[in-house]
Amino acid sequence: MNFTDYLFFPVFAAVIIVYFVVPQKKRWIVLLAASIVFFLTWSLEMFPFALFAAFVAWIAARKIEKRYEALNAYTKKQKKAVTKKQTDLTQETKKKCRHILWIAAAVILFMLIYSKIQYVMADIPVLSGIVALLSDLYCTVSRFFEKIPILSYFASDTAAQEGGQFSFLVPLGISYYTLSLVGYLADVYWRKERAERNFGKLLLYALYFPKILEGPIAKHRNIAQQLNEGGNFDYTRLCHGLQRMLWGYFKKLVIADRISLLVTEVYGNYTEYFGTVLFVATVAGAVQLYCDFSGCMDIALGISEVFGIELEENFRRPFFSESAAEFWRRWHITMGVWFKDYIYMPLAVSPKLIRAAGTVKKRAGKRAGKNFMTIVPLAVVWFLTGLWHGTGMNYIVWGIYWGALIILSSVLEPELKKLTKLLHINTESSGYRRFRCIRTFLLFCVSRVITIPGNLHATAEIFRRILFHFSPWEFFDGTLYTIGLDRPDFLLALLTLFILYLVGKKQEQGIAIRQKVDSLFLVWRWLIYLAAIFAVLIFGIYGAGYDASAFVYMNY
Amino acid sequence: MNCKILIRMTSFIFLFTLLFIAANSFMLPNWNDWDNSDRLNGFYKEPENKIEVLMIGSSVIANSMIPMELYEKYGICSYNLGTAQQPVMVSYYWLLEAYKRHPKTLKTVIMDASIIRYEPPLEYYRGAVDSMKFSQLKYQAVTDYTVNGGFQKTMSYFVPLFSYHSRWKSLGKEDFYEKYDKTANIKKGYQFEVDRYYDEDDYDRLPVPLYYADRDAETEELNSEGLEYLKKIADFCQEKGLKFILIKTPVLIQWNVSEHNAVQSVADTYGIDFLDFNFAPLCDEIEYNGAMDSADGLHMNYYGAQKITEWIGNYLVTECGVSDVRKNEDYHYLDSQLEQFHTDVTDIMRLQEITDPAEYLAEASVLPDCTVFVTVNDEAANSMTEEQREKFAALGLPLLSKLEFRDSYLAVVDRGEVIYEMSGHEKASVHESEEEPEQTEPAKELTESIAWQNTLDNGIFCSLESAGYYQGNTASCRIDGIEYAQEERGLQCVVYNNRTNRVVHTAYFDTHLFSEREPWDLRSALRDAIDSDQNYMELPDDQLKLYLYNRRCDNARFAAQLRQDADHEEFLSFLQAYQEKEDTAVFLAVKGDASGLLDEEAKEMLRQYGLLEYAEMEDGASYVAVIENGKAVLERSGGEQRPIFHNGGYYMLQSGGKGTEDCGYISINGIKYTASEGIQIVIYDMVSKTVQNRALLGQDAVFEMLEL
Repeated sequence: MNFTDYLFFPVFAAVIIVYFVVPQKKRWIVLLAASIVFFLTWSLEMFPFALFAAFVAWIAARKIEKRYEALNAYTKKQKKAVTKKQTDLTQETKKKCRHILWIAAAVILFMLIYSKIQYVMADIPVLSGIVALLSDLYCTVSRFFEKIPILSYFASDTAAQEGGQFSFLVPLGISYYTLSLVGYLADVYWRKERAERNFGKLLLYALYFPKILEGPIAKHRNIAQQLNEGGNFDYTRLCHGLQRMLWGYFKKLVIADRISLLVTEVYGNYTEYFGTVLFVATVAGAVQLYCDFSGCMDIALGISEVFGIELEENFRRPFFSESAAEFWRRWHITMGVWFKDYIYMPLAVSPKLIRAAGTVKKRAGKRAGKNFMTIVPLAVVWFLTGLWHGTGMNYIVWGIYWGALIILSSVLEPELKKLTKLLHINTESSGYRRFRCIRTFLLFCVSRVITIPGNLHATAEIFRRILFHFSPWEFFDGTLYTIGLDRPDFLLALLTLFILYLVGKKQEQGIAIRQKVDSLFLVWRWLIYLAAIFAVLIFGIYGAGYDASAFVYMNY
Repeated sequence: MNCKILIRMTSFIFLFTLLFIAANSFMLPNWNDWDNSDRLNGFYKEPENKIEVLMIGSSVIANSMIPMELYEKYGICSYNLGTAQQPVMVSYYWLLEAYKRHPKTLKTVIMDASIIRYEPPLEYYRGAVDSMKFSQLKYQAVTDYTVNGGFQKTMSYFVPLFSYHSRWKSLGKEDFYEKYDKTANIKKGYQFEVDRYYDEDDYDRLPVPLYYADRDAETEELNSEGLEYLKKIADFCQEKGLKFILIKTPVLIQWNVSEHNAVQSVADTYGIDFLDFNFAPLCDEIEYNGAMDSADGLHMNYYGAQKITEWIGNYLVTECGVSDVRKNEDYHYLDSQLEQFHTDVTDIMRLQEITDPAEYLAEASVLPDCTVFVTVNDEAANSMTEEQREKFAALGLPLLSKLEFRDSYLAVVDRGEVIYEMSGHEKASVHESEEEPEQTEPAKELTESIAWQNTLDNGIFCSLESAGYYQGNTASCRIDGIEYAQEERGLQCVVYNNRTNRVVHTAYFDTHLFSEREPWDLRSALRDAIDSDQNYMELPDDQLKLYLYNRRCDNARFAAQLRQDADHEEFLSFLQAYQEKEDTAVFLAVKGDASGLLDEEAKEMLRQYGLLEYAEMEDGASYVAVIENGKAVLERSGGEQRPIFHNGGYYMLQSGGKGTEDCGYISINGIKYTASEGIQIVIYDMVSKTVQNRALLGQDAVFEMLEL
């Protein structure tokens, strides 16, 4: 079951009712139950692992905290000035906690890493045996789960098992909740927050169903309290949540899935198309990804809002960004924050790196030392970000591409400033800013070309075709209506994109659309709601994809 | 949560539900292509406990069984529930649905056997099941089909919007009006077809029937799901005491002996009667002619349907004991429907058969509820007779009666009343002016086409246009956006039925060349011509084509009979059989060593034909011969190692005796017939210019007939 299943809606409605009927203190149990059911219907096989990962995180966090508590108790007893023994003990505790952290994080991350590299491993003779063994092992575990009567109901669903071999092909938010749990552990270790005592509550944090599919990667300390306390019923918030979901469905079903017909057609057969079409498909592919992902986020945040739980925003109109760095602050925000908090910051403040920077500074000058401190953590972060998105060579190139863009723009900042001055460019003018927006967008499009086709050879071929086989007449001769989308669909896609742009622009100006709608007269408001609902129902790309025109009188 | 919010939420949900239901009904496709919706929705309009005979199955049954004619001639109350490629599973559920509504009267079920062979695509399933009313039965039908499909799939059957929302692009006016014909059950599910297969191809390209089934031929694998549900249907019929008949209507394509055998053996196992009209003796009993009785080789037109319906009616009365309800007062509603049926079907067929344009207009304009649109393309006046012009004037069309060379013309006759008439004469300056004939009401002189447009009572928009040769040379009749005028010269007529909101007939008369068009039912015309001993060479083209096609069929039938008859599995009797046939040519060509293959009796017979060389032939010599109408016209033989080649115009013969690399063929009209070693015989019809039969007297004097 996912957010676009028909069954999701009655289930969701039932969960809302039960949630608000149950006393506030017990509401988290409703969410936990709903989350578990949601997870099971999605993937029965992954459930044992999720349970296991949460369990490890729970135990480890408790252990870390206990050690700190013991240390605190000891320090309080001493009352005196710091003794050598005390310092040693502190060091000892920290070391032990770090060990726990590393072991737990390794166990939790193992699945994530393994799921990413198992296909690479399976190709290596020595390791293929291990892959097979783990698959068998996991199969046995999940078979056991299937035998439990209630769980077996879900077993027939879209199970990711082919020919008895368990496959990690569908990660089911594996990266999202594993990252969340590792972040939680690190925060407990840094003593930014206290460990969760109740395993059920931690499990709810890990599996909370609005965010399990595609994030956002919420921080435990940001949502735990809301989750545990349970929201109170608020009609306006309920409406806002539903509105946000509707907007999400519109983006996902009407815009993204429609455009994706064109993108898959063109990228699937890129050798048959030339410059214009490929260019259009590339731009469309960029917009499609945005609408798909951010639409899904709108749905997730909307669902959560209905329950009175505020998740973090994952997108802030990234296509209005003026630079690559800004783009990544507005695109998939929570992932960026995770990498910043748990990879970049520890690296940037790590004594080893600072020492190394000192050496560089001594040998190559002040600026080099400063650049070293900028480049190394960023390079690591972007390399890992690339790997996080996928393990193919093209994802590594993708990571290097973004890393290089961001590093260069920060390293070369002084030179670039000089250049703009030399060319008498008014950096404050709206024209220049628009240029920067478009430039950032195109840079993003380039990154899409690196990843969509699946291999770098195809990427090179597509770039070659876009640049050297440009065929502008295809804009006008109706070719665009023949690739995946017919004329009405194409025009509808353009119209909906225009609506998207208008909404984005208003939001950029700081206008809260939902509050604007709230202030309208009831009739208009309802008209807007109904129009939006039916726009999704009618223009959405969903269902059997049945083509009525196929029903023509043929033979018989 | 206070009261106000609750009311607000409830009313919003209520409003949404209303719109949702409306959207569902708009999005549900019409399936009008094939009157599908009419047939299935119309079924629910039948009063309960009336129907005695039910037809189910694919489209071939829908246009072969005419329930209203069964009523008219035999008093049988029946309904035809055939839909395009109806899966057997759906047939089963429609049978259950029909039984639910007519449990007391339903006695006989007739099902088409075609669809048991394969699994039809999804859309045919939907087309047949979407119109079923919501009930436990429909739910069962859907879940049976979508087994393992889960909630998602099942829902899409009950909420059309989920499946058909992508139709938003093609929504038309008709989607917002009533979805089907208000009087849908008049035809009782019969699918009316007028077209002839005859028009599709040349006489020598149209396929010929099979005539005889070969019991020993292999059997085809049938569709397992189809068989499963066939069994269910058979069991259900047995349980409820219904007579179940499986039929296969006559076709020229997509049916063969192995498929027949497969169905026959299944029918035998399940104990079902199987009537296959493709093979003797049934094919003779209905006197079916594929070219004239079929619309496309597969589906019957009205002529074919009439024949098979009559046969079935007779069968139902004599074999199944179906009752005659004409005297029963409960069934009197059928009498008034019968009148409408005549308007919808019989009268339209009569229009199709009319050859005279004046008579056509007279007949069409008196059809109830009908509007006739007349327009002229290019030229229509040249061959009009005085008599016709008088008739036009009598109909209230004075301008048509005075139509001149290359005039444009438009007329609209609405339910017998002329509501518009206009003609346009080319400007005198354009054409060399002649002496102006005296007219009371001269046609307007125009340089451009004339046009008319209007909205009909039911809100449907129609437009007419006509242009004579000098004014644009075109004609158009658009109704609800669809063009009905054909790209043909002359008088174009379109008949529109205001009750069913459909165009029911279109016709054109090339009154530039001929005062009347060719008759539609060529058979009677041909019969008359042959009865009056007319030479076939003098027949009009249309009739000649049918004559030649019939001749081909006769030849095929003759060959099939020979094949059937074991006696003719011999060289001598084979030749003798064709000796009696007129206009027959026999070609003989030897390949390899064939000198010792014939016995004395056969040699004697060849001698009678005038073939003298064969008897004296050397061992392994090459040999060719042609016999026309029982007389030798060519005979050549050559010695060993000396191949012969003869070019006889439409045929070429080659023979190579022993040691000449076994060359030897008979080529007729560019088609080369080769066989293995021995004497190859090709029988050729000199009238239809087609090969009738082939045979080979092979090694060790084994005689066999070859496939064409």
